[in-house]
Amino acid sequence: MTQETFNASSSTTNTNGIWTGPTLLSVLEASGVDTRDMNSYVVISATDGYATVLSMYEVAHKTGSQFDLLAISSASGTSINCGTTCAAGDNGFARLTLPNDTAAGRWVSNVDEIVVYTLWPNEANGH
Amino acid sequence: MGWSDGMCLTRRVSTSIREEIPARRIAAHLNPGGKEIMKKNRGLIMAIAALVMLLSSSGPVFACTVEGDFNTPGAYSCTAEDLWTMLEGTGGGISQPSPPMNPSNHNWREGDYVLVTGKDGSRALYSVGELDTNFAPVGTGATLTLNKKGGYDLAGEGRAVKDVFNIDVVKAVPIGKGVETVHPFSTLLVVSGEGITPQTYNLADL
Repeated sequence: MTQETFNASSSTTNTNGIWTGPTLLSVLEASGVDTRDMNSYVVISATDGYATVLSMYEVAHKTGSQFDLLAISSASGTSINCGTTCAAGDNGFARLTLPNDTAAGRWVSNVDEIVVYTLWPNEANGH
Repeated sequence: MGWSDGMCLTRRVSTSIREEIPARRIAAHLNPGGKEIMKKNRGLIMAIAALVMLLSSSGPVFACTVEGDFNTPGAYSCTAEDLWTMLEGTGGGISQPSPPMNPSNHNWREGDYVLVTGKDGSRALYSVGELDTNFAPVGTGATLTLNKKGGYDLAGEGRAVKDVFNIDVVKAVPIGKGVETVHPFSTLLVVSGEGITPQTYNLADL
């Protein structure tokens, strides 16, 4: 998938740096999700049970010049994709990075599940 | 001694007779001597009378209800202000688990979404995370503004709803960091949802 980078500078030290990966939007589109349906939301979950909810609007629109990413590499020194060398606190093979979230509380590490919920599946899009 | 069925019946009959009197007078006035017609149309006459009473008693009150996942559940009124500010001030705020998890930055809220509905059927869906200024410093700017008709319009961050009448805060997923005792590093993820075939991605796929 097309890789994008996001240079994060937040007050949370484990998120500072340059993150690279496909946009969440592109992953959803590749999966056949109707990303024009603004009556839908996305739940991103991690292996430890942590999760966050995104509206489809915030997935499908940029914050500034940046989409949300599913980062698979980092130039920040924060370990990601470290395989057997992973240590506690690692991010797994993919980490959700949200330019809109400077507290990084929604930056889900160890992503293992993304579920899209549509509130009115039989309704025409365009809301 | 309890309230017997016979007493209930008596009350009902008595109440029913009292209610019929004005209906008969109305019907007699509209159609003097038409007792048979009055009997046939009694239901219609009663309905018209009830409608007249309802219309005459209701004023230009705009109803907008806020409800859902609050610390103190209930139905609350809307106020014309920033949407997040209003939600923070409603029902003791969006609910939190007990004991609170990470109370400093309120992660528990990020499993909720907010659905705003207008009288014309228009809707706007926000995640709490994009409204919550603990996470998104500037929020969305979503604001409820009093319109010329006495209702409230919502506008902000690409979404708009006219004549808002309901705001529902919904817990979509419980947030629980470390709730699983085993949490291996992720090596693949699955994307699923209604109407799509689940797709699995590993590192090479991304």
